[in-house]
Amino acid sequence: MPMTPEDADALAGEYVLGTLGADERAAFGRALERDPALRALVADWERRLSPLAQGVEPVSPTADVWRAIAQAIGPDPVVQLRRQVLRWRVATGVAAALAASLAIAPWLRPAAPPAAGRYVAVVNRSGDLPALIVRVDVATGAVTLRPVAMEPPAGRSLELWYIRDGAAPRSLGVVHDGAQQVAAPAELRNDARTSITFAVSVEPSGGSPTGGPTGPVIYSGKLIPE
Amino acid sequence: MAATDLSVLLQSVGAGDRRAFRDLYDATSPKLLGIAVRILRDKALAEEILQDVYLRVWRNANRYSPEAGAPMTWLGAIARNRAIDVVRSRKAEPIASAPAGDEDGGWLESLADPAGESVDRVDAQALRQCLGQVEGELRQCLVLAYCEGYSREELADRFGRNVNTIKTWLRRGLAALRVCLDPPCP
Repeated sequence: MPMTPEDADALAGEYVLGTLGADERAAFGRALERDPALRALVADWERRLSPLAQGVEPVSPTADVWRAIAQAIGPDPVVQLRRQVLRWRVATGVAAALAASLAIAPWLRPAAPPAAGRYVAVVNRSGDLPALIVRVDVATGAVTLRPVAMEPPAGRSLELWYIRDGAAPRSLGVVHDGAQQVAAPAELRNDARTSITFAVSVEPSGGSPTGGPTGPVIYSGKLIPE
Repeated sequence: MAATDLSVLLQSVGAGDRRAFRDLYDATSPKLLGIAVRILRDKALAEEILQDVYLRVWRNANRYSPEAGAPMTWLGAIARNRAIDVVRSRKAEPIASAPAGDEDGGWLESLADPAGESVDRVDAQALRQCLGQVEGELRQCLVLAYCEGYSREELADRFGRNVNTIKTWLRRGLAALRVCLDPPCP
């Protein structure tokens, strides 16, 4: 049966008042989903009556309420990463560089289960925010760089190096803004399980002219299994 | 907290900002719980509803637009709707007691001095004035329904009338309120 405008407005008003019976309310709720004109009538009634609801005496919720909400929306990526880093430290004995307080962009959601052959290095200044995340996938040979808070000095470039214990640093190229992929050199694929350090040095614009780091190393981090 | 701050917070929440969500929760949850408690008359149940309310806020905050209304109106509507859904779908229980204070339960007075800046004072005063013009028992029905979750049956009990009379009262009261608040264009 078609509703007259008066009926529709009366129903919208009673819906907002809350006096429709359960069945009538449910039916109106379904109609609302389909009908933007009804939604506008309801919004008008919400607006008209809302000042009454604001006069209510506030009641403080117990702490359990927020805990349940926080749990339901899932762990905070920052907290989760902190935990993951803690696991890495325990598992690998990596030094305090990784204990740094980590605040990290939300794209880094380490939700996937650790896969064999995947490694990660959090490259930072000791105690600083992470500057760069390096992920190495030995299976595909891909190295992914995610700058987080890299600050190249004006007119200079930042260059990424990987260093095997006791070997000369090898360049992985200049780090740009935004995520980038570089191909892993064969040695890196084979060496990923041994001790690898990543370091970022300040170089002349465009990168080191010598093939080795020439400027100060400002960030570093160890490669560890993900 | 001022409406503009809440609006900014809500927009951050819509973008998935958890810190903003926590701030929004801290700023608004006592009021929303207050709304739910008055309707449900059960704090533990109201707290359960409150969890659901904020999960809806988290998921739907990106649909909030400041043009559509004040943040507290939007948030309050979610809380009231959930509480009313629950109270309407459970078996009718006897009303514990009539609200203390005057016949409107003090709600009309609360409009005279809205707490904080979250509600537009002009809207509150207009509603107070217009409610004041609605006949006594009709006005009480509107206020008890909206603020305390009274059903038509509960109102019928309270006023010693049948349910159809109450329905007529509610609709007459709403129509009078609408004409007063939003006069039709000539």
